[in-house]
Amino acid sequence: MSRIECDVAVIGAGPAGLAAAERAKQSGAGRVILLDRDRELGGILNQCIHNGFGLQLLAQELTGPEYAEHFINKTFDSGVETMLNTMVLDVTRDRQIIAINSDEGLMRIDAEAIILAMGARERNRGAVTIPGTRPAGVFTAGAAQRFINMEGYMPGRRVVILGSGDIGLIMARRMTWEGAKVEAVLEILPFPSGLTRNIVQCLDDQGIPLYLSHTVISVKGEERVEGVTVARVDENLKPVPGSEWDIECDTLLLSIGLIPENELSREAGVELDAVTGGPVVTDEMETSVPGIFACGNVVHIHDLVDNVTREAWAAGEGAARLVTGKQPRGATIRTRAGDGIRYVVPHVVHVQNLADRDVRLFMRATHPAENVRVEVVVGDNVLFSKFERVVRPAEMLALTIPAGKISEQAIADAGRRGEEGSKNGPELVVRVTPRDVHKRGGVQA
Amino acid sequence: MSAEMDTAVITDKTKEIRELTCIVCPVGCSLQATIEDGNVLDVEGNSCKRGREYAVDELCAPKRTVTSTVRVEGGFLPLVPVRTAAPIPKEKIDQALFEVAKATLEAPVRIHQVIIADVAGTGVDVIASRSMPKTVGTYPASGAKTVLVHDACV
Ligand SMILES: Cc1cc2nc3c(=O)[nH]c(=O)nc-3n(C[C@H](O)[C@H](O)[C@H](O)COP(=O)(O)OP(=O)(O)OC[C@H]3O[C@@H](n4cnc5c(N)ncnc54)[C@H](O)[C@@H]3O)c2cc1C
Ligand code: SF4
Repeated sequence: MSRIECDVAVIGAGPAGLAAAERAKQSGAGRVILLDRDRELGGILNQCIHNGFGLQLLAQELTGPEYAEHFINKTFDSGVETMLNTMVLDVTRDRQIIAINSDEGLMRIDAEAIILAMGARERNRGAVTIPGTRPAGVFTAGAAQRFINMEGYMPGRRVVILGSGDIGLIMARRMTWEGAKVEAVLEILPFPSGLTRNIVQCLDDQGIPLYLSHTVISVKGEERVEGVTVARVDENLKPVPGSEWDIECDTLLLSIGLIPENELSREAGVELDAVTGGPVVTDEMETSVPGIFACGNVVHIHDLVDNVTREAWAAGEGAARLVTGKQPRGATIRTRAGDGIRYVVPHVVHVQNLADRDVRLFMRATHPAENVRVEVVVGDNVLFSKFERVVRPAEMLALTIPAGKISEQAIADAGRRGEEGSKNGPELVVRVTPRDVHKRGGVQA
Repeated sequence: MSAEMDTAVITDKTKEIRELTCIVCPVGCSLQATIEDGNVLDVEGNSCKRGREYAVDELCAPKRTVTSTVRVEGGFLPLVPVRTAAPIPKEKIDQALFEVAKATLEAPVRIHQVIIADVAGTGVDVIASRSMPKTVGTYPASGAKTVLVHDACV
C-alpha cells in the first residue's frame, strides 16, 4: 500500500472541496491534496446546467459548470494537487485516510488536517415508501438530471414529479424543453420547498400545475410505470379518502430532499447533529474530532452555492490555522436555535473570533414569515439583528456578525446573570421576531 | 399558489393591477404593477430597482435565459452545456431550442465560445457553459483558462 503525507487532505471536489483546498493552500498550508471519486472536478455542479449560480459572490448569474470552472481554475493556480477517480474508503480519528484508485491501488494518506466535503445524496423511494408495484421509470430528480445533461439520455416522455424541491422544479422545465410532457408536481406540505423564482420560471412559465398538500399514494405498471394515483392530504399529512385521482405517465421523478453524506464522518467518530444530519462544527468548521473539518452539503443542505463557497473558505482557513499553529484558543460559546429557527451552523463559536473577525452564522426558518428581524441574543440582550422582508424554510439565512460586535464582556455579563434555561453557561441564541415598524426598510446585503 | 402568479396578456384601455413575483434574485419580492393601455404606470413591493425593471420587462416583453446541451464529437464527455449569453424574448424560446437541438460541435471547446450566433434572430448568441477537452487529463484545456471575475469575491 502506498503512503502519502500531506498538510491538508480534502475529500470531495465539489464547490465546497474546491474552495476549501484553494483557501487552505492560500492561507499557508504546505501540501494540499484534493480527492474525488468522480472523473472530473466540480461535483454536482457539472450536471446543474441551468442558470442561478454565483449571483451573490460573483455578481453574475452563471450556470453550474461555469461556476465550477471559475473555482477549478483558481484551485489549479493555487498549487493544490488533485486525485480523481479516487474513492475514499475510510477516515480515522488520527487523521488517516484509506483510498483506492486504479493507478495506485490502495493507498494511505496521513494528513495534519482533513476537510470533509462529500456533499449529499438524494432521498429515494425507500425513504418515503410509496405503495404499489416496482416498475422501471422511477428516478430521483438528480439521477434524471445526470442522464439528460451529461449522458444525453431522456428517461421518459410523460412525467409526474413528487416533491417541490429545486432539483425537481429545474427538471420540470428541462424535460419540457426537451419535448417531454410534465403532468404535475405534487408537494405534501402546504408550502413549496423550492425557491419561489424556480416555481415561477420552471412551473408557471411552462404551465405545469403545482398541487400543494398532495402526494402520490400508489404507482401503477408492471414493467414500466403506467401511471400514479395521487391524493390530497390533511394537516397530519394523511391522504384524504375520496380525494384520489389517477394521472397517466411513464416516469415518476422524486425530488424529496437531500441527505448529507456522512458515512465516512461516522466511521471517524465525528459527532452529528440530528437536525441537520451533518457534523457539529465550530466557527473554524472543525468537527468534534480535532483536526477533522467539514463544509458544504456534508454539514447541512445548501440551496445557494455562494454560501457553500463562503463556508468552505472558513473551513480552508480553519485547517490552515491548525497546521500553522494559529488556532484560536480560549473560551467558546454554543449557538442555539431559538423561536422560529430550525437550526444554526456553526454550533460553537470562539469568543476570540467574535472579537477578531466577522463570524458568519447560517440557519433556516421553521416556517414562512414576513417583515421580521433575525436576532442574536445572549442572556436577555439582543446583541445583533438584521431585518428580513421574508424568511422561508426553503431559503437559507445567513447572518454576519461584524468583528467586535459581540464582546467578551457582554458574554461574561450574560453568564454572570445566569441565563434562564441554559445549563452550560451563556449561549448565542438566534431567533426570529416580528418587526412592528412600517413595511419599507432596505434589505441588508 | 402558482396559479395566481400570472403574467398573461395585457388588455388595452383599462387600468389594472397585476401581481407577480420578482425572479431576479432569491428574495423573490411580491410585486404589484399598475398598468394602463399596456404601459406600466407604477410598481410596488420591490425592494430594489431591479424589481421595477423586471416588472416592466415581464409585462411588456418577458425574457428568459435558455440553457440546454449540444452534442460534441471527440470530447471527454458526449455533451457540452450551453446557454444564451443574455435573456431572450419568451416567444423565441421554442425556436432557440430547435436551433440548439440541431447543432453539433467538435472538441476541444472553450468556455464561452460562441456555438450559435444570433440565435432565433434575437441578436443574442448561444455560448458554451464549460470547456470540453479532447481527452481525459487535460482539463482545464491548456491555454483555454478563463477567470470569469477577478477576485471580486468576499
Ligand atoms: C440539482 C441541484 C440544483 C441546484 N441548483 C442551484 C442553483 O440554481 N443555484 C445555487 O446557487 N445552488 C444550487 N444548488 C445547490 C448547490 O449547487 C449545492 O449546494 C452545492 O453544489 C453543494 O456542494 P458540495 O461541494 O457540498 O457537494 P457536491 O457538489 O455534491 O460535491 C461532493 C463531491 O464529493 C465527492 N465524494 C463523495 N464521497 C466521496 C468519497 N467517499 N470519496 C471521494 N469522493 C467523494 C463526490 O463525487 C462529489 O464530487 C443545486 C443543487 C442541486 C443538487
Ligand atoms: S425586487 Fe430586488 S430584492 Fe426583490 S427579488 Fe427583485 S431583485 Fe431581489
